[in-house]
Amino acid sequence: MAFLGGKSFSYIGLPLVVIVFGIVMRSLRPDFLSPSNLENIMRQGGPLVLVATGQAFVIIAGGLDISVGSIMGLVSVIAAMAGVKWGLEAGILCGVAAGMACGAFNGVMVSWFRVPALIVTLGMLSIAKGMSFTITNGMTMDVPKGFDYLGWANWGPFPVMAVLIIAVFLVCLGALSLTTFGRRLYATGSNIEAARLSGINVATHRFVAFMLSGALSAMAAIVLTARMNSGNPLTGVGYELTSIGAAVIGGIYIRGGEGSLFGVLIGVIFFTALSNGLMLIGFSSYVRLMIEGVVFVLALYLNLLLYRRPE
Amino acid sequence: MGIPGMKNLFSTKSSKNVGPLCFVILGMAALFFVIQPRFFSLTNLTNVGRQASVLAIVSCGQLFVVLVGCIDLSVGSLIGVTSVVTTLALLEFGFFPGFILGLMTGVVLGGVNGAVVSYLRIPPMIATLAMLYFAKGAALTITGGMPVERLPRTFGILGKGSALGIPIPMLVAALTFGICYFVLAKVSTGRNIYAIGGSEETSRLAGIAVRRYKMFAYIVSGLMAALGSVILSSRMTLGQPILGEGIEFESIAAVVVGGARLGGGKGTIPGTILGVIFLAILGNGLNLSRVSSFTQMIVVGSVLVAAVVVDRWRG
Repeated sequence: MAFLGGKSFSYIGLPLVVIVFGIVMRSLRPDFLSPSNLENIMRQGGPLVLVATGQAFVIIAGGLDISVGSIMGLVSVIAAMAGVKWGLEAGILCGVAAGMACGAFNGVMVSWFRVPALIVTLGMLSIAKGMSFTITNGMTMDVPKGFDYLGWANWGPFPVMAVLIIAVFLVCLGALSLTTFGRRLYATGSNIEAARLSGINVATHRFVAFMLSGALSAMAAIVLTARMNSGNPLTGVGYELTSIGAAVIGGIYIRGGEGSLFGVLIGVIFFTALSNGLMLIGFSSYVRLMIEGVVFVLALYLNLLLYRRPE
Repeated sequence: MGIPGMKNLFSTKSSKNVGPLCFVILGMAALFFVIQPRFFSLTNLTNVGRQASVLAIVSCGQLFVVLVGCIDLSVGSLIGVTSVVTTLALLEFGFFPGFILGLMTGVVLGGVNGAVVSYLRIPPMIATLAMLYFAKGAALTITGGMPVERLPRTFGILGKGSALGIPIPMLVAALTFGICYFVLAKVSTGRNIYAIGGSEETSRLAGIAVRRYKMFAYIVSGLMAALGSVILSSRMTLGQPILGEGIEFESIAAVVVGGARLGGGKGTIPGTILGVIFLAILGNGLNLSRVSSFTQMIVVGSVLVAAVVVDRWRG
């Protein structure tokens, strides 16, 4: 049963689980593995790939970000409004900037004001949600014309969005596994004191991790905004749970310092397939909430079990 | 890390000095009085008291959890699911069974939180986040997203009624405070809770059943959430699956403003009361000044972060 341990789980064990799940689902609902449904799953999972990647950066660095959902709502609204006023590109830039600003705020509070990540991102969740609702008064906003091109167009056989998402993901994967920054990020999460003593600027690294999370959440929000063709303060509801869940089930150790983005990708596929499958079976979205909560806890438990370090 | 004694309710040994907090509250009250004289009318103050009672009760539960070094993000959803269970049971079986079933829901779900945190060793924030979604899903599933209506008018007495001029919710809150204060300050249970918050390892080595106390804290939190939910549902005479959404922030903010440390071991009931009063006055003042509830979300979030920053600075 060695393949169930630690890192090999995300490379062998989890993909096996996904495959088994796919087979089981297919026997229940044959159209689960149809090309159009698979395409659905890919589309649905796109934004989650981005958010979970950002979340992975933060978790690896030893923190946690539960503000991602609210940041996405805020970005969606800001991107829509700025886009209408100043054009598509400006809208996207403003949106990403807003996401980075929120992430930066989180990072500053955690790194230099020593506020626990839990609390900062909890506060940011409230602040961002309040801001997005205040700006829109709870309603959705119109988006500029170019947005639906972004959401639905294709470059050859591939959706534009998918290409962009994959590109961003690969960049992040490279940054994390191939650069010094990535190595130091792992060190920071693994043992912050040891990292600090060996000369790593832990504050800066954690700051960057949070900012990346904000930026990636912003990109995900823009993808969703383009797809829904409206700026919605409720974009991203539930993503705090699924992003952590996907990262964790993909092998990112919740206490930091371990895990690979490749596993996150599989984790995203797992969660998206699960949600899609449950929907096909006919569970209401309310019941899915309950099931997701339970799966989430199980994923966490597994994660702790497989990675247990002497503390 | 001392235990708050009767003699010295605001002992600086056990929590940060709440003297400044009192001044802040008085200052805020004065400010609002100048801006909005309506603030000091008896009707308004009674209303504030009535509304704040629910937050007060829930914050008591949150304090227990925070004192052992954990956190409970699920209280809002617990309120929702309890509201639904209580009102549905009330319609079927009558008030008393409904009330008992509601409280039991809180106890059971709180127990689940406690078990997941203590025995599965899942970080409290994540465990209660999952419960938040689970309970919300459960509440919405039970009623299909709709509120529970057509409740007997007598149900509303608890939330809307008064005895001797004081709103009943305030009386319930006062009683709750009394009991919680007694447990935390006077009984060995309380001493052990502070010990665990102070140093979990040392407590474990000293023979304190750390896991069981964490379970206990979460059960208390669930119970308090359920109690608050019953009062709130009574006041609205409605069973609402999304009732209480957001109260987790407010309760954590109240507890932190009142001097509790999020790592555990510090914090008192009197401090929490002050924290609740602070938030209640702030909220009421903002309401009277026609500030939207969305903006208030921003304010509460900022207060939470600011309170923790201040707490850190004071070491």
